[in-house]
Amino acid sequence: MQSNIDEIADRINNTEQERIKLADFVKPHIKKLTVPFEKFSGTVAATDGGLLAKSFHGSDVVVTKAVSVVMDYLDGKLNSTNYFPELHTPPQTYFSQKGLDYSEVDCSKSILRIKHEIRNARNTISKFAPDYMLLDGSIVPQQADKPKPESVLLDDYKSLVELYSELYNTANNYGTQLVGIVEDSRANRFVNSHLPALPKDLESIARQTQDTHLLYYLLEKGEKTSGFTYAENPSKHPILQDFSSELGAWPMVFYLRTAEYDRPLRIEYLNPAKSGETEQNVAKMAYFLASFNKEYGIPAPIIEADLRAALDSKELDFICNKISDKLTHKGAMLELRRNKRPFK
Amino acid sequence: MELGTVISTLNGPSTTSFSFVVNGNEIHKGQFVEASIDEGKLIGMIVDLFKTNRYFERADSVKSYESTGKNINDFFPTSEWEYLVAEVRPMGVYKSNLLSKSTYPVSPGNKINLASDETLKMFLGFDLERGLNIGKLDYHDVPVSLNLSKLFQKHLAILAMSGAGKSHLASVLFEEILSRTKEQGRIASIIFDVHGEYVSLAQPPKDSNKLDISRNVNVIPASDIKIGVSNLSASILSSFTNGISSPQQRELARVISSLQTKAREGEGPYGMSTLIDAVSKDELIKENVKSVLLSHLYSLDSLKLFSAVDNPSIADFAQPGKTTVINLSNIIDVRKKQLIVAYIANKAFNEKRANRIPPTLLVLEEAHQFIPESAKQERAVAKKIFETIAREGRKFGVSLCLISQRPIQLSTTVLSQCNTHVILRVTNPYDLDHIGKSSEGLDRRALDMITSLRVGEALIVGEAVNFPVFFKVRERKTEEGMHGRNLEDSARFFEEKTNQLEKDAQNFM
Repeated sequence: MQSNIDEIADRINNTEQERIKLADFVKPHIKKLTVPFEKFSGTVAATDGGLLAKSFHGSDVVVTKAVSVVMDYLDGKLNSTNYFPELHTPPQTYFSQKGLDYSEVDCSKSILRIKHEIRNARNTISKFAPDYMLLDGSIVPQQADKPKPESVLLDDYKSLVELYSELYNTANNYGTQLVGIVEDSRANRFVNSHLPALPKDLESIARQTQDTHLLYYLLEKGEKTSGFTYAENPSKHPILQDFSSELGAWPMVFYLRTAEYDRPLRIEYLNPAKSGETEQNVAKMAYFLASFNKEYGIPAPIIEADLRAALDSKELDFICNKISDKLTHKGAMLELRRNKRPFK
Repeated sequence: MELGTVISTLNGPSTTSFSFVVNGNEIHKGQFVEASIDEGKLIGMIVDLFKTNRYFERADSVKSYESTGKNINDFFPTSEWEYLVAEVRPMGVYKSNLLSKSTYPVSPGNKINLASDETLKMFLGFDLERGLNIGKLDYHDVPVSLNLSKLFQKHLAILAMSGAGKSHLASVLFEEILSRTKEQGRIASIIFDVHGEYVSLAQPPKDSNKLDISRNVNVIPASDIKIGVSNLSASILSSFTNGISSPQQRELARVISSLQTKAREGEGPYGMSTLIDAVSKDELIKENVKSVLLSHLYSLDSLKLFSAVDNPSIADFAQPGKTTVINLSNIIDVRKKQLIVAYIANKAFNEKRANRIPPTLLVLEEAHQFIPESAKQERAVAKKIFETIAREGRKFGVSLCLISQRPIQLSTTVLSQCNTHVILRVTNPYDLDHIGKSSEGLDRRALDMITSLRVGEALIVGEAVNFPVFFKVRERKTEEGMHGRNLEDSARFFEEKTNQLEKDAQNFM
């Protein structure tokens, strides 16, 4: 076992050495922009969602919660805080007897959660018209949330895309800048599209390297990349092609390092006019609100929303028990065998 | 007033403890709360309060944010995450004027209210009509009015560190005792005042707004006290000295018996010199026994405490509604103090047994000096009689009020017989431990709360109350004596007095 561990550690060290070499090579060719550190004044909302699910024999119970926090900053200090729908938001419960196969169950749950979250973000904008609306994650649905064409979930997915489209339009109408803060991005479009021609020995490591991984060696705290479009060609992008051609062109991305010992953040934002000022404003806001922890560079409103949206597994058990208590026929809510093994 | 909602925790709600999240109203440790349950009205006491805030749970995260020189509150709505949780010890259930133990827990979600004053008065067993009003419950508008019999019949101990307010509380008790009417039942009380702290009770107040109980208080300086030798048996005399053997006591008894016969036949009471003379002239006592006996008697005589008859007689000062202060402050000799205390206590016990005096309360300041847990006989002359009174006094109407700043040094036998304890601030861990062991109904939390009591705050536990109660001792209605003054006032008073004396001297010259 020891030799196995040593071997893995050696391999990691070697790979990192390669990445550092790659970073050294591309450094002169990468345009880095310094973000000014300015005390932020304005209203920033953030939305996050929580999900808990339990599968039974023939059914699934899903509990979701979506909460928005609306934080008003004045001269760099938190001035007031509001919550939507409310400070202590109760979860929503869904019960499904669709008989989905296992691969679709996860997709279905994810769509439920995201829909709840996006609807909440849209309604928060309508009520508070904040300067910024931050989503915990991407502002574009993920490929994993898109069911196969023959799936019974396809309509769910389509309604999800409609909700996203509504969110984009609502944000645009209310003058709210929609921003996605992607905590642990695995994207590699920057590495694939924005690097100069590489020597042969670095091509292989580049293929194994994600954007944030490479940029960890390139960006210093307070530095960002230039903004770039979410997809080179939205009409061919597996998700953006499901949006209207106009909306599909709005999402843009840049990377920003907000903390000394944390990886750069992937920041997605809507920028219909492809305005440099919009990009700069988003960067300044995100940098200020995320720069006060050396090891965790996430904007404060996202942290607060995450805490508020967290669900306790006890809540799910409580709800399941309440439903089960009212059933005369328990067949739909028999525990899965794997969860009721007599010996563990 | 609604205070909060019961929450579910790892250990509760149970029949012994539950927690509730506070909804914002003012709340304090020691406050009484109530909840409506199926069995009736559950009453409990808040034994602890704690706050939680998820933003401050992780030291590394807090440090990380704060190390930037900014305040974490500048970025996060931390106050929105602060919750105050109160831990409650259920004390009992009250329904239709009946009190029962809590046998079923409250439910999570149950609303908790501040206990109403009316409920508390009945629940805690106060005697609002005829009781002794010694203070007010903390955070409730309820007077702590204690039934005289419940408080004293099975003895009272007042325990606290120096300066915590023991004498103040005792003075408040005397104000109440001496203000009672004949119909309310009046007892006699005798204070063994080691430091002269209660002498001021006998002085009419200079401030006319203050209560005057001086006509009911009699001060006897210890130097005026004489023990009548003719009333002493050989065994009592032996208890006054250290080392009289049984044969020696036998010989002494014979001599005393002979003197008492003569006294009855007309020679009258005799003093110590007569007794010494009789022993020295007795031809039946062997010389070696005689010399030892004489040496003990001379030693007692040197105290200048003995005469032919008692002065004053206990029957003269143990009167209903009256307090006698035996001022021991001018006596330095420990043995002499011990003898006076032991003799008067003994006399009071015997007189009450014979029903010649009213029910009597003996108040012993610095009780650990007189009835120590362990000490040589000569330093514990009074221990035996106080142990006897502690055991049997209730039957005959003699009660004890022991006041001590070192409970651990106090006789366990006597302390355990004190069925009511009033405990003011105590910080010494040994004393606290001792109090915990000798006070029934005190748990670790209550003991911990004792250390944080402020001057004048107290806990009463035992016979006089249905449940342990924290309260604030009321202000005195009588005037404070010199001992009640703080150091600054005493220093100022001293200098003013000295200056006045100098001026008087100059004027005279």
